[in-house]
Amino acid sequence: MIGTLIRRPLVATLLVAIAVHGMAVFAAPRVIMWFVLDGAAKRAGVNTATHAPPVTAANRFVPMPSPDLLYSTCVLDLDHGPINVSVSPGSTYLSLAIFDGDTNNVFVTSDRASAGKPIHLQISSTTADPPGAQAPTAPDGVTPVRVTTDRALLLLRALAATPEMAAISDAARHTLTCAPAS
Amino acid sequence: MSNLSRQARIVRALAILGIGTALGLASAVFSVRSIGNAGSLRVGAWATPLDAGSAARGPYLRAAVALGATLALSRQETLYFSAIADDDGKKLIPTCAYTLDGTDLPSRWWSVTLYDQKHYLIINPQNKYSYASANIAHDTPGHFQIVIDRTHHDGNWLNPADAAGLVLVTRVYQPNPDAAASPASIALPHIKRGACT
Repeated sequence: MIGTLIRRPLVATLLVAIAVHGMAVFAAPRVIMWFVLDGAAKRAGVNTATHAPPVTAANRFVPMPSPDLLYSTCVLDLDHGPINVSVSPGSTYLSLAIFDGDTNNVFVTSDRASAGKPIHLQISSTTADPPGAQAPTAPDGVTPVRVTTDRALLLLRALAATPEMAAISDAARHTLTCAPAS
Repeated sequence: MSNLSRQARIVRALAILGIGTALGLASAVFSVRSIGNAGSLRVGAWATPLDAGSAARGPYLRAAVALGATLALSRQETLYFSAIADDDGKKLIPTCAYTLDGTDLPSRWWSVTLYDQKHYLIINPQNKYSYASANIAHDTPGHFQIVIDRTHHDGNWLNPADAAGLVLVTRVYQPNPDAAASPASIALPHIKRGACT
């Protein structure tokens, strides 16, 4: 087979190009997200909240950051079961977004959706389910979120466009907790 | 062909792998850029991916967003519009002055941020990178102007300093339902070129 292809260099080159093209397009988001998750995990560990300093030109915590936001993150290691996430919003914009290992924004909620009340999530992965098992059940008042990868990123955004908003948002984001459900 | 020596076959195999890999990578980059752009909606000088963070994106748009705007939110939460040229299609460059002329955007809050061509915030003496609905000065109710220029301006002013190239990004957070359903209907700021040095 390989000998035949070597004797037909144009066909072989085209096949290699097609294979590399497909792999590159498929792999790029996953490789980038792996670096994002790995970098964040090395800085702060997993299943714990980390609060980035205010965004400046010298401080880039996420790609293309907004200087009008404060960011906090949790790298979610879902291999060993669900992770509980809670936060108490302040009186200005705050959102929680979950990105799976393929860069998909699988879930987003905000202070508006919770009417300003505390937000409680339970994030679990289909990869951690024992064969034939059902998805974990979330307690009352807790929103279940399912992802299809064994790691995910929780990203909190809180509006800090004025000093007053920044103070409110900084206090709110420090209520963020991420911890194993059991 | 069948008389090729072992050494010649190895050289040919390596050449096939090398050229094939180069072609594959080059075509992937080209496709991600062009198909990513084709998957965008244009509104004047601005372009927005039809759904930046959605799991329903195709592989090329997913790759394009991962390369340019990792961790973008889905359309119901945030619309992202970027501009690399002015209203006349001329590339944004730091040696020219620009005036953004706009009205408040239909959303809970919005912002306009200036980046360099690699999507990094631009180091400037003012440490000012953006304006948001909560901190922009309006000249008339609902209307604003932002000047981009290396020289000082009163009012809403962003300094492009020594950036190699410019990218403007407008974020529309929690857009009104009509705007989320039809991003093309949003009246985004006009970008007018002024004097160049």
